[in-house]
Amino acid sequence: MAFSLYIHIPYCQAKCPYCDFNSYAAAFWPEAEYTRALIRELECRGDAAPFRGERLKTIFFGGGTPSLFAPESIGALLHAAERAFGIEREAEITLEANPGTVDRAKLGGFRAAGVNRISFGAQSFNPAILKFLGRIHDARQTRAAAAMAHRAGFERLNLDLIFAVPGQTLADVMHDIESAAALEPDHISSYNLTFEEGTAFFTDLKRGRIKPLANDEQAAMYAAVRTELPRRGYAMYEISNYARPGREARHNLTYWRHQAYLGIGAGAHSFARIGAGNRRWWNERIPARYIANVLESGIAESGAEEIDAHASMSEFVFLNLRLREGFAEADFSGRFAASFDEAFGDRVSRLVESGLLIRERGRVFLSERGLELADSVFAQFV
Amino acid sequence: MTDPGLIRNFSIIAHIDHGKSTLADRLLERTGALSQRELKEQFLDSMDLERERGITIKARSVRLNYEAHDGKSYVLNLIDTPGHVDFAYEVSRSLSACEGALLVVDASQGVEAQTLANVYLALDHGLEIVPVINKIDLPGADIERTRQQIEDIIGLDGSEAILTSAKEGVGIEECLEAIVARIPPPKIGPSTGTRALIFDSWYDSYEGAIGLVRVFGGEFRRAMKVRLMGTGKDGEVMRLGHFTPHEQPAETLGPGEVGFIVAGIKTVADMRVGDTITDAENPAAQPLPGFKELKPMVFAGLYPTEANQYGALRDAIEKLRLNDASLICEPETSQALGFGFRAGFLGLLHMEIAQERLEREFGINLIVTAPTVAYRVRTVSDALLMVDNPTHLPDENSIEAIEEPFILASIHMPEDFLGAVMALCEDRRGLQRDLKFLGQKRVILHYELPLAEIVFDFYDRLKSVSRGYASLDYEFLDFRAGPLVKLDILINGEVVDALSIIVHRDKAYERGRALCEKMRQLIPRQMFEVAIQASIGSRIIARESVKALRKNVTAKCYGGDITRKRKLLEKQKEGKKRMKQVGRVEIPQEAFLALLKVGE
Repeated sequence: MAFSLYIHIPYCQAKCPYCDFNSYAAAFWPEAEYTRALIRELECRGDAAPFRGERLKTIFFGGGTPSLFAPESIGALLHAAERAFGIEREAEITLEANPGTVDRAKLGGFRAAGVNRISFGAQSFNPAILKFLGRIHDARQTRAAAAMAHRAGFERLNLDLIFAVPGQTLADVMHDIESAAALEPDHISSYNLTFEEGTAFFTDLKRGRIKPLANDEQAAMYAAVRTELPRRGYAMYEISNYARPGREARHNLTYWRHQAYLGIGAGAHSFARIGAGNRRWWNERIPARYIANVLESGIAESGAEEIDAHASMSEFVFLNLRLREGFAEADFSGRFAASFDEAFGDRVSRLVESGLLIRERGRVFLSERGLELADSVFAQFV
Repeated sequence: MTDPGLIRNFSIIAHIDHGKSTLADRLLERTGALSQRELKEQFLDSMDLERERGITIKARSVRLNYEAHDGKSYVLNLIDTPGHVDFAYEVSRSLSACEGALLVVDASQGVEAQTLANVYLALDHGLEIVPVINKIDLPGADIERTRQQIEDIIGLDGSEAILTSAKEGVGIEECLEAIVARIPPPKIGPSTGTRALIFDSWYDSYEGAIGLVRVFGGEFRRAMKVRLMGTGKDGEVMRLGHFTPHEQPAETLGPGEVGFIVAGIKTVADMRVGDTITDAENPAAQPLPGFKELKPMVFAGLYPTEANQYGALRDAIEKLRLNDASLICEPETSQALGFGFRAGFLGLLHMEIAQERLEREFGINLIVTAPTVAYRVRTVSDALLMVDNPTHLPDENSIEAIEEPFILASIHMPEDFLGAVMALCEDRRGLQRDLKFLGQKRVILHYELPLAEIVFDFYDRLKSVSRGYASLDYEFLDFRAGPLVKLDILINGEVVDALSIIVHRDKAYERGRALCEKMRQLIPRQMFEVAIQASIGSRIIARESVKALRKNVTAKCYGGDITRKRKLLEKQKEGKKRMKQVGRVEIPQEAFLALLKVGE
């Protein structure tokens, strides 16, 4: 069955204080060497179970800042992916970009190399908030980048936004939505800011240097986003994702539908069915070590877990419930040895009674209230 | 057997942090009882819990061999004592085993409270007290002022104090010489028979109860038939010896000696602290004075957070009781909490220690309900009921009177704090019985107080208003009828039986409001609003609410986040296990003890 490929580029010009991804600020990065390592890993994975002989339905260059790499490197990687697995004709190929790192030539190059979807980390259009978030770009660059992407032939464009930033008001959030929609992307991701362990913001929070917005305020902002984006034609299809009809991010749907994906690059995770069970594994995180390991042995796995039947069912439920449409109970029983009721019946009826979960016409999905309390709902399924 | 003239039995009295354990370590080191290598810091406090809290719960003893300057070899028995009012009885038994005590005072801090309580107790027992001014190496040390304080506050001759720095090993020799010269040897009077005082006992899974004893007359030998005069149990001495601090078996324990006896007695309940052990074939006419059976003062429910842990809790309590004769336990059930136990404790510290040991040593997640004293209820049909669980209070119409236990408190303090301490006693519904000035600006105050007012935070409050200088001792007086009412707590309209308390009517409103407020802080926001109410009968007297949680959702979950996310959710679920589901509401463990946290 066709699967998804994630390619991680771990380098950034600056590390944002809220970011907990596997990324490293660098003035120089070993682009050629890292690209060689990625190609080597692709070749190696193309030759082995569980993905040998399967074709790619989506590819996603994430980071880090993949747009730091030259279009030639991206092109070489796509060629390698084609050789290793074969890319479906209609495949979605996304590249994450920082609006401050692109120009017309570069965007044109990415398009020519085969990339057909760009995702910009716009975050906000308010200079004070961008500064607080440690971004290297400004709103003017976001607007210019979006225009250039359209001109370079990208019909598919995503803008990332962040809300619930300390100091941000509801009016700021509305202004960001307005500004983002005005650039006519076909997809908008709107994330509630979180304070993850290991980030600069987390430390600031612990030391009392910054204070998160009140829970009620965050809820009000989330409600505004869920109302305002659909009004502008972007339907909500996941907890933080909105798209024009048919323009949902197919790559990310792979994750939420609990389907197979291969991740290559430093720290990338992969997930596949192996035999009767599921397995998730991940690569060495440190780029230099990743390169060294791959160049020596073709892969750089540093850890793995076998996901037993119960954990698989949990994951299937809490990932699929992130989607607005939820999942069909028939898909659940088709995939596992038990029906949804047999697996979780008691908890489901409690959640339905509390008005957090809806069961309708063979599907299960979160109510509006359930969306706001999704983690409390998910916790019932582990 | 050692010549009684060469034995010295002593304890060390010190305020927390004034260097008792360090000094003890030095004495052990100087007499060769322990090598430097063996000196784990603070040898005496061997229970983890004790070390963490910096308090001694159980007594210990160490036998030291010391060759004094007079050329003779002495046996010095260091008897360690607990340091909290909950264990006042154990302290008094330990002191009874001694002829003297070192009073350790920090040269920079001066005389402090804990010290005073135990000094008074030691003086009451007729002990010779040798003041030791410790930490003389510290920059803030003021030796002269400390000498003066010893004279003014305690009434001892400050000029005779030994100067030490236990940390630096200074003055240790002088201490040992003073023990030999100033503390009298055990008095061996006209024969009153073979008698030894049990001042500590503990349970060993192979040998049963092991007693730590001080022999007052006669001699104990292996294979001798012995009897415990208080509990009436008979046994046969299987093993005896000393702690040096390593266990050293001996053939006999003679007059004045301190050591351990294993006599085939199964449980500590049969070998109680304070009891007298005698020769069964030639028993002493009278036991040693002072034995009393300890009665629990405070009662609380112990429940497992998960129902399937009930069996494990029962087993754990049984094991704990093997070692703790003063802990009593009966099964009970609660509508809110299910199956559990009602346990009786000597006081709150005792309760907290039991709780911590059950959680830590036996790995049980525990809910402890609000502690209460035992009330006596006179019904309209003139029956008397003892009620140690507010839920079991009979229906209002069948109650003639509720009587609560009163105690007589003796509070020692420097006179500067008299006003503050009296205000505290008045606030706690106390009746002053008398007030005596003891000279050197010392006062002893006697108050009749309801036990319920004492057991919660009185001791802490007393320490706080007297800056630690006041000491408390109390004894039971009688039951007195009063306007007592049952205060219920309702969560979302349902009475949670485990949260009910009995209070004085005049304090019910204040208590109800404070409880609701505290519960509001302790119950986390849930998916719906939680109403907390306090009521007397059908009348609501206070109300608070915990607003519904508005938002709880992780914004991002992509390929690399899934494993971590699942683990976070699992952890969240683990956290919930420490909560008790009452109706739809999840109540954290601490909320059941909100009563104790009201002042915080």
